[in-house]
Amino acid sequence: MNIKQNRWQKSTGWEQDINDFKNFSPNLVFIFASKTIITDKTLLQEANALFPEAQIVGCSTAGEIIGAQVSDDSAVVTAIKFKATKVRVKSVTLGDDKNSYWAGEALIKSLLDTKLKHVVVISNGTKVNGDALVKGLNEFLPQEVKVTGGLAGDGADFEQTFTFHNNETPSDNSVIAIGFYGDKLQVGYGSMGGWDAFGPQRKVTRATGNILYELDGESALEIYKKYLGDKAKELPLSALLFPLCLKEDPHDKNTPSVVRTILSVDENTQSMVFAGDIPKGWYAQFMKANFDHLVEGAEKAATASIESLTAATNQFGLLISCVGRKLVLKQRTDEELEAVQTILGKNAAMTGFYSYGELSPFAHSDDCRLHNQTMTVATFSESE
Amino acid sequence: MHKLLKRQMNRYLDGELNDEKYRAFIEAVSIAYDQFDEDHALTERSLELVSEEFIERNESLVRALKELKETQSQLIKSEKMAVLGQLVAGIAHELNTPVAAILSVLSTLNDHFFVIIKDLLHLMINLNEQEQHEFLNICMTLLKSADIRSSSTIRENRKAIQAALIEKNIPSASSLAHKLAAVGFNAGGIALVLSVAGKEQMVTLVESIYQVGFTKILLSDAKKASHRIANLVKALKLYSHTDQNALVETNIVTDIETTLTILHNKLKRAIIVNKKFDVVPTVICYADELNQVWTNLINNAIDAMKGKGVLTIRIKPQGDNAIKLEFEDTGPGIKSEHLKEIFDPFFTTKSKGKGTGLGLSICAGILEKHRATIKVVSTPGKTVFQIILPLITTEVTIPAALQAC
Repeated sequence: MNIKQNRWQKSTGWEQDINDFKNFSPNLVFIFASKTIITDKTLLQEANALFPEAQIVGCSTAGEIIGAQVSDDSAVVTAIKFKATKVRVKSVTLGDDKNSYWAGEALIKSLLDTKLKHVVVISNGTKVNGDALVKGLNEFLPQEVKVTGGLAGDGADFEQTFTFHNNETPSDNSVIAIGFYGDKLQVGYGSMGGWDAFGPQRKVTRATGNILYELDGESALEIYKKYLGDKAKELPLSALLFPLCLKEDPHDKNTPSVVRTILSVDENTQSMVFAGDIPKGWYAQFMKANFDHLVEGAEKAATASIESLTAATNQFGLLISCVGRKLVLKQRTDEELEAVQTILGKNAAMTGFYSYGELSPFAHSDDCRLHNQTMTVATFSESE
Repeated sequence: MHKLLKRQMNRYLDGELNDEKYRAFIEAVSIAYDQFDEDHALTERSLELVSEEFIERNESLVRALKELKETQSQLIKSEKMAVLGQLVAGIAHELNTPVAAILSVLSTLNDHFFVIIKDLLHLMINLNEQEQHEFLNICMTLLKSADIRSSSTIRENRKAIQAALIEKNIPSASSLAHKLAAVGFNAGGIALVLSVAGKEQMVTLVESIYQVGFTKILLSDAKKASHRIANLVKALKLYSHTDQNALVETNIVTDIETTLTILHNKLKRAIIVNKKFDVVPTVICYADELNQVWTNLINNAIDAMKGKGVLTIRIKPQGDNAIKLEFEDTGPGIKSEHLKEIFDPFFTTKSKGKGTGLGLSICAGILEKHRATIKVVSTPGKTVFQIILPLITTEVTIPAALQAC
């Protein structure tokens, strides 16, 4: 596996010589960029011209990752040339009659093959129901093949997210899946949060799907506003400061809890839309950030991602981390990327993005799940 | 620029750094300072709100707990009253029998009092001084002798007395023998009677002896009935323990005996009570509450056996600091799917109106208060409730928060 990377920023242009990409002929190119760059199309057209033979896949983000650095209003390009691994890409568009579960099912069915090794999903971030998508993905996937990936972002705006594939027009309503085929490829994955739950556990007394209305019989939005104080005017973004930790049984310490972040609020119905389902009757607890624990979480995710790999070196890490982590880590965001780089090794190329939701199994025997507020690392190695 | 940064720059760098290359750096530091302040304010605010919420929740929990305890106490009282109601009905029945016996004795004595006095006076007039003395001796001996209640003994004595009377050619030998045997005379006693009077006075003499003996039997019956009443009253007093709701020193064997006395009416028909009581140390406990437990377990056993079977109660020391009690019945047993639920409130397999479903739940609560354990093993024909009761129950401490409300 050979990899070449570059970053483009409006103020400075390409960081490396663009000619490096010429005659490289990669199989797969990841481009993660700000919404403005994607809607402007210039850069995507340039990429299509540079890589006519490659599968070009990417999305809008809430922060672009290249190496151990994060940047905004940029585009990060990672071109991968596999030695033996084949790549196939499928994209589906959500519609009134085509829901998220259907999307998951359709994608997996179109990628299924005996040599299918791993699937990376890059999804729309605001219109998709992540839980339903994951159910559709898992339903038809062979037990030994896993899905990792994430939901596209839109900076801190939560308005419109884009995904794109080759020279198709970027879509604000699509889900893309990349199938990796062949015996030479190994993929490991890990997903970890590092947030601390605090305060009272409140029962979800009114919710439908991923829309939350009431906790303990009180308006959930009002509770958020009370805790956010002045920052309530920055909703929905500021709600990321207090993600929800959900548990079916608040006293059960063995079952892992599910973390959910907010996508939007509706003042008229006093409701809040979350990135995944909020099951009625479950118990919700606010979570708060602890810098050290967040960085440790990233480190643990990276460690888990290389546990099952037998290759001598980790060649490529796809990092998908939650926008909520970036919001609280602020200038210290690079620390969690550095933590991952340290675990994967300095020779591992890293890219990825800050997302509105992460996709990964909890453990290797587990099916893919939708996560929020985690660092999710998928590490790739291709043997000779 | 953040105030602290500005002050630090003034102090350590003599004002602003004018160099252009530091501008972005200074700005980043200033933003970090501001963000730190914001994060700190948010944390402070969260801490304050969480504290308020927890205080509020704690207060409402304390209120709820208090209400729950009051309800629980009411439930325990009403269950206790229900059990007492049943016990009172049984005890009333138990008291009724001896009271009726005493009334019958009094009525008989009332009817025969004059006849006895008249017959005695008549006899005494016809006896000389020596004979009067001997007659009084016979009466005294008779009054001091033990009651003979065995019908076969009475029958044998009657035959022997009759033979002795016939030998002396006393008329109406059969009738006289019948009366003398009925009041406790045997062949030895008849010799004394024969020595007192001749044939012509024998009928009057025997009649008078019979009246004295009959009166003695009546009084003995009344005495036994009175003892039975006294025992029941004593059991009731012991059962209810005057120091209710207080830790008292008690003997569990006595308490179980008392409970069995109270429940005698239900047990006496067709239940064999097999008592296997070892000598055990006294226990410091809430004795009246434990009596509620014993009553409940014995009552349940009686109900399970439908009033017929063997109830075995074992009491023995368990190590140095506890005693072990077992209540075993020969009822049909508890279904395995019910075993987990029998201590749950409102769980009952009894028909409607027969059980509230609170009995065992309250028992479990009372035993828990005594740090005692209860377990049950049940197979068809053998159900054993085993209790390990510590010798000393420490006072349950009530949290200060609860005492305040």
